[in-house]
Amino acid sequence: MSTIKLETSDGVKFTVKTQVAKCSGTIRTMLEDIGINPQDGEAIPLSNVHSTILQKILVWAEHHVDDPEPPREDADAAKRTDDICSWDEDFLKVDQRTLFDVMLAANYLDMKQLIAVCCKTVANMIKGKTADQIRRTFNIENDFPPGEEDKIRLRNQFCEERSR
Amino acid sequence: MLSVKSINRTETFPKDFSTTTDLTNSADNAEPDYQLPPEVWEHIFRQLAVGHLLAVRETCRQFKLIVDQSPSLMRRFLVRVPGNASVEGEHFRAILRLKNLTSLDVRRVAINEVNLQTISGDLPKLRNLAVTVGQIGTTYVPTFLDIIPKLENVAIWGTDCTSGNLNSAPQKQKLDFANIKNNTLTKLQFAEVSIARSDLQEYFTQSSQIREVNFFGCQFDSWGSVFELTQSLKSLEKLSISVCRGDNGEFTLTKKFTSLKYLRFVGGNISKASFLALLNSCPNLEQVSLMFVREYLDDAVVQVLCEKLKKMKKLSIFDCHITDASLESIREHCQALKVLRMDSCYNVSTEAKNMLQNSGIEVCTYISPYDAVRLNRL
Repeated sequence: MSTIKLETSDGVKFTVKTQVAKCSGTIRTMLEDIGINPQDGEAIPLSNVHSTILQKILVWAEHHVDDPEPPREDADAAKRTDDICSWDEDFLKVDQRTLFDVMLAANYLDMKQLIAVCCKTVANMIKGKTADQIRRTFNIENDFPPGEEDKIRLRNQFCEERSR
Repeated sequence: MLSVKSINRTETFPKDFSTTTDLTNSADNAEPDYQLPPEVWEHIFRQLAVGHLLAVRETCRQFKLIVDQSPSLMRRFLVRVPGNASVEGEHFRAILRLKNLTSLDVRRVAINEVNLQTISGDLPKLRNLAVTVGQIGTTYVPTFLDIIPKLENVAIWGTDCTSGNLNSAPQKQKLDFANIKNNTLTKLQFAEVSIARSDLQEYFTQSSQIREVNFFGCQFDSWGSVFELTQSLKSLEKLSISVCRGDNGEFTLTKKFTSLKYLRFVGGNISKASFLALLNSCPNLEQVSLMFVREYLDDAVVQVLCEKLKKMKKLSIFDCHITDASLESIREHCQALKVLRMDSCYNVSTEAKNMLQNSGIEVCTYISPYDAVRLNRL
């Protein structure tokens, strides 16, 4: 089975099945379009990904390597967020920092399915919360000048989902 | 292959990562930096319904910017301004600051020409707009159509909003489209206004991009002239006529609605002859929906409908006196029909329904919300 080597930002080298590595659009492009030859023994540098995070991402990729291509969805419509499979749910039961680091790395590595499932997880952390609860959840500072909040508030009954 | 110990992790990396990693020792041990780039936040927000997005907007400046500046998120917002809102009020100003807003419904607010110009200046990306215009007894010129550049879907409501009350006075807001140049509209709704052929003919003739027209509670000068007027829309695919009134003088339609695929007809004072003339001029209909048409939809009309409309895939009939004979016509002539929806048609026997069902047509007499979604996909 063909393998390639990846090198993380902290200099750790991973040998990974090519098929698993190709879950990443970025690596796929490097191999197929730019023509990096993995047989050379040269490791592909992933300068934005820490080894701890890559390790985690590879666990995910290994589990999902045989997944079929997802159907294209309407980009504008609100999506379901209750359809996260239980394996992914367990996989993403991590502290927020790790979750965000995985998302950043998945974004850099262009792993659409992993990004999607992470986004759903974070979206579920937002759903049903007030602005204040959202701030506490993500440790966000309220940086609106006093009184500004009233000016930007759109009354809930004013706004609805546009049917199509 | 190199066999350096630290490299070859393919087979050995642990299944549960969290047990082996101490994140506090990661390279940058300064302040925890949780930030995700705005495009990732936008991706997250796209999973949320509008109600949740409102809370997100009020969290912090960055989140507000991400929501307000995302055309993709803003396209999902439909802002409906309630009747008690004042155009000068703070909440209205909050709406006008949504630069990327595409859908606005201000039918219930008194909007004058100056307000409309403010709206068009502040919300240049509006595509869908519903307004109530003018005063009874005057003729309204919808100049706003030429001011807002990207409008696609416009609903023009007259001030007499008796919402389909057939007994209401026939005096409705008149419109004058003679000098309107807009050629971006694809969908146009008229409600509670007076429609005369002469007021719209010129505009309709030049508006070949309009695909959908909806008349609701309108006063027509005559049924025939409005049908002829509507036929001048060359690309019309969907036509909906609900509880309209008009003169039933005789007419012959020389042209046909060749591009029309969808017809919805609800109530109104149309005569059986006028109704048949309409059906006869729509040879390419694929979906037909008829409600509260019991005065002119009988077995004979259904037979004509079935014989003429060979491409019909979906037929909905609500509240009619049709009998088993109609179902027999459907079975005999509607080869393309997939779905027949029938509500409150009590003169039809269960046996006839079953027979139709057995011939491969889905017959629904009660439509649950689940079925409605499923049938829409068929």
